[in-house]
Amino acid sequence: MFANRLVDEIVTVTEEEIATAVRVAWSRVHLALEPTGALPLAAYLAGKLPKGRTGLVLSGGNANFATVATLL
Amino acid sequence: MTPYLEEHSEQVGQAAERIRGHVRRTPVLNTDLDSDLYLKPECLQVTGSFKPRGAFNAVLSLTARIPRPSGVIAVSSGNHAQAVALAAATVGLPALILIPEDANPAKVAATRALGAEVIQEGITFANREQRLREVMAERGYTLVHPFDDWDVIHGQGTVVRELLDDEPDLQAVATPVGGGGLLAGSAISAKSHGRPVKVIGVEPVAADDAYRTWKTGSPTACAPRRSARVTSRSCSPIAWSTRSSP
Repeated sequence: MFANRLVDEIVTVTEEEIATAVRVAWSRVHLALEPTGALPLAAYLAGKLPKGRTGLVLSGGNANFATVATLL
Repeated sequence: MTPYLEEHSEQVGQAAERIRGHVRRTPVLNTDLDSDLYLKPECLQVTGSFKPRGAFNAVLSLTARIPRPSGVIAVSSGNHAQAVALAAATVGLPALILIPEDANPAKVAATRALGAEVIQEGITFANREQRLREVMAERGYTLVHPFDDWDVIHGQGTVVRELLDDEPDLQAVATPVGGGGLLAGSAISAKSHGRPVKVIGVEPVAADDAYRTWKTGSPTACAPRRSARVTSRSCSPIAWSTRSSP
């Protein structure tokens, strides 16, 4: 498998972990992320990423205002 | 590095050249959250997501291959729609985007504002693939798939390529997984970096098709699914395709 050989791991995060990551992105890092864009931050904050120097791709910020309002 | 990986890595490099001047080189941020953490904020990218990287690479590659394409078409309710609209407008091609009727009106407006024609009437999550085939046949437009397209994957690979150019000592990179195009492109760039870099995809537990595909080793259960806040459509057959020597 292409992705199976090149991708080391897939981790999953809960809705609550995503919501926390959106809040942290907005309040601590001042990045207006959409929930999808916050997935890697959610995994980091939940302790689901390995220790060490890590790059997080925060993929986008086209948030639906109504959704984000409920998260913030 | 295997020849297969080498070839795709080279194509990510060509994509980076091709899309230069059309997309932003987003910064890499080190914050007070954790000094080991390096953020690549693609929310600061043009149109607000990483998607124009793949869309520009696909559209510019198309115009290089075919002298006068009649137009491009995409199915998307979100970021890919705006990216394709922008890329097509930039090169002067008509863009037609099919967007499901229940999509966020703000995203529909943004797509129209970029000059694309939008068809929403009668488009649902379930019938959109079939409607796409019909409209493609009518118009003769070329499909720009959101993730199951090598040009798109190579374009998305430029995100992690830039990240590792700026921070060559990273030990791991993590990206969201939706269709798998960003993850596949990221994996190409990370695994051709020359130093070991772990590649981690992150997915909502409520839409975990990539997780289950990775776990079981076969692309199963890639039906459209939604978590409450994140929409995950399906997995990329290219990204997950069987290769004897990747």
